[in-house]
Amino acid sequence: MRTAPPEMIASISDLHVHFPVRSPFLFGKSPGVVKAVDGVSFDIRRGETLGLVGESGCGKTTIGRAILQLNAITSGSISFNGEDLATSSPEAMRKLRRRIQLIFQDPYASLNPRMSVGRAIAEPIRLHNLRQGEAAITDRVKELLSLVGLAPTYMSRYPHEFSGGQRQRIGIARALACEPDLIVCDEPVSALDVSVQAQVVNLLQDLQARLGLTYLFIAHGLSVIQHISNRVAVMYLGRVAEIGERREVYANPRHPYTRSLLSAVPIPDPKVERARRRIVLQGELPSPLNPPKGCRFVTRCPIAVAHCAQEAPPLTPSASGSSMAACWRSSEIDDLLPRFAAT
Amino acid sequence: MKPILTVSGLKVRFGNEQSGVRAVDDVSFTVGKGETLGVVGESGSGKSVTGLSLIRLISKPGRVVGGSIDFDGRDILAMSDSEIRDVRGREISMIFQDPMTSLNPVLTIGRQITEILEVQEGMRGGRAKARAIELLSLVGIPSPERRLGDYPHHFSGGMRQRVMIAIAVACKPRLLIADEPTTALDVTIQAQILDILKNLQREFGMALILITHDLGVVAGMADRIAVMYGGRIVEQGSTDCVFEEPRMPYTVGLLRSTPRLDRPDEDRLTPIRGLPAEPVGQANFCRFAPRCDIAQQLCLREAPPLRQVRPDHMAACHFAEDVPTLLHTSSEAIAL
Ligand SMILES: Nc1ncnc2c1ncn2[C@@H]1O[C@H](COP(=O)(O)OP(=O)(O)OP(=O)(O)O)[C@@H](O)[C@H]1O
Ligand SMILES: Nc1ncnc2c1ncn2[C@@H]1O[C@H](COP(=O)(O)OP(=O)(O)OP(=O)(O)O)[C@@H](O)[C@H]1O
Ligand SMILES: [Mg+2]
Ligand SMILES: [Mg+2]
Repeated sequence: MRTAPPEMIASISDLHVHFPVRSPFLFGKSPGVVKAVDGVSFDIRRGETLGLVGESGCGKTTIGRAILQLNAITSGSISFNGEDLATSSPEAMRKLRRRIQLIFQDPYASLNPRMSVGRAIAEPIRLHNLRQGEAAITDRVKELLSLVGLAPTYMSRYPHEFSGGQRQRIGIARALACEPDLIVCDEPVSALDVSVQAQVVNLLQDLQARLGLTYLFIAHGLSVIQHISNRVAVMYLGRVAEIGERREVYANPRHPYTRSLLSAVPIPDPKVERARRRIVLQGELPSPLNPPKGCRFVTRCPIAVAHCAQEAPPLTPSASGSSMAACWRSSEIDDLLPRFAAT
Repeated sequence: MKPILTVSGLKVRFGNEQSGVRAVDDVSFTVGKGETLGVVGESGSGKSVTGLSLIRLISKPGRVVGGSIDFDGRDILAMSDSEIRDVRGREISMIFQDPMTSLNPVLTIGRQITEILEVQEGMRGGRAKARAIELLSLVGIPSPERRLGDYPHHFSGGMRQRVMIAIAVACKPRLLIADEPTTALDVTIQAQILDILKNLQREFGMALILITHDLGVVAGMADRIAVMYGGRIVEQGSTDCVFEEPRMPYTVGLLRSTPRLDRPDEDRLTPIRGLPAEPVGQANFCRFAPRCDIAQQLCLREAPPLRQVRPDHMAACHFAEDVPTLLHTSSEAIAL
């Protein structure tokens, strides 16, 4: 077992999560395998926000669910506060479970439609015995509701009576009810419109400062990730393409995928939008059932060379040492692709 | 040129006159052939209900209680059930906000696409299957021929959304209502999908109502923009006008609460304070007033009508003329 250094709240080490899939009806009999997460390692530092960004289907949610023990791990390990999650006792596991919470991507699916909001938030408080007596539980529910900016009178309402943004706040209140250390925020603001998004982002930042929380913040919005994260990991098809200090990754991206992402982010100004030059990705989206050998990005990469299709590039540190990128051409990338195409 | 869609005074209410939610409250707009109207606004402001009411998909306890919807000379609200079913999917199509509730979990993706081709276009067998593969590759699903037999739960959120788009454009509709179509997607795919939508528009003049919370997306896509708040359109105009000089404090608030990639050092976002109140009961006041930084007594006494403030630009604010000064929104000020 690998022991995490003390400042690390969680360590993910060579994680693989594979899903067997039924063979498609027309082809062959052998079942395929989706390598949703295929060799990912990173640490989460206590008190930080680590942003996890990347394409739909690249494995972000799978990593989040693996940390929460909701997905079986194929190989590799995840430790929390130095304890390997796979080998902890059931009793220790039960305690750990409470301290890692999830805010879901889909606020609709995460709430039981037949349970009032008050009961939904009270449920984990009861389950983990965090408050004793009905009055104390009700007080705590009210406190949590106002903590996330909802009127305590909403307690008796049902999920369908709320709009998307309100449901997401309920999800946050429910997660906070467990008094966690680490919250995996899986696209917590992507379904929200901007004024509410700004409130939730500020809310998450305030709660972090107040309660000393650590966030693994999963999003596809590069602007939100830039705003909220201390460090950023960019994933592509089950692997980390680039990881490092937020400033370094945004100002000096060394992976062509990161550069394409940054060039594609819409900016709320029609004049800026009209004047922008985008790196338009061509080529086939690889199937996770049959990922390219060599670099996973090779089928869409604008600067790929023959070698890229042969051998997967390892993560290598930048000159400053504050980021790592997995690209064979990262040292010459400034001559090949624009750095940041905002203007 | 006559618009393809004219909505006037549309009202949709959930519940009764006194205590019901006025989800859509006297909304009027037009969409021209091939034009893109961007609809933005707060969660709960009535964007989806507006979209759904255009194809008469409002379910109880909601109902349309006023106004008219004219689609290419035909009155949508007066159509029989079988007439509206004919329009739905073939002439007006909608990409729904929540892809999981709109895909059938027990049917394969392939079947869901061939079904609509069968029902709407009379396409069957190999032809329908070939077209389904074509549609899936159009929206960037890898190895589409191998994914036809998969069920929705085999796909990630973003891939389900792409399947929804494939289904929505299967019959080349004349008007597509896209409710947050790229929200779950990676930006490189978003850029591709927005390109696909633009191409579909160019190819057969499809008009598009694009509902989104991403002001960046409307900035790049929309010819005109409508900002909704509390069931009403509170600002409307050409995209350039509205972004250049917003005249409704709510729109200013939206722009200021958006993190921008080109402003890496912004410490903290400036959200709009407070919470949106549900639009219940008659509003003889501005519904945004409780959250507004420049509200006056007048705003609590009288609802501001949506009125022309300059060419191609309407706003529903008593003080629309003063907004640029009071909220320091000349373009330089916003950029700071
Ligand atoms: N239970 C499952 N069975 C089979 N395949 C699965 C399962 N869960 C996930 N996958 C596959 O694993 C891959 C990663 O999925 P995951 O949900 O982690 O992606 P994601 O990065 O969170 O995407 P999104 O941004 O769309 O939410 C996808 O190819 C997905 O289809
Ligand atoms: N089935 C329903 N029953 C009661 N009220 C409803 C129902 N559906 C919608 N509403 C109400 O109608 C109003 C408008 O909802 P709508 O879904 O159109 O908002 P929206 O602008 O699409 O929000 P979001 O950005 O969260 O999707 C909200 O106040 C909502 O609570
Ligand atoms: Mg996900
Ligand atoms: Mg909606």
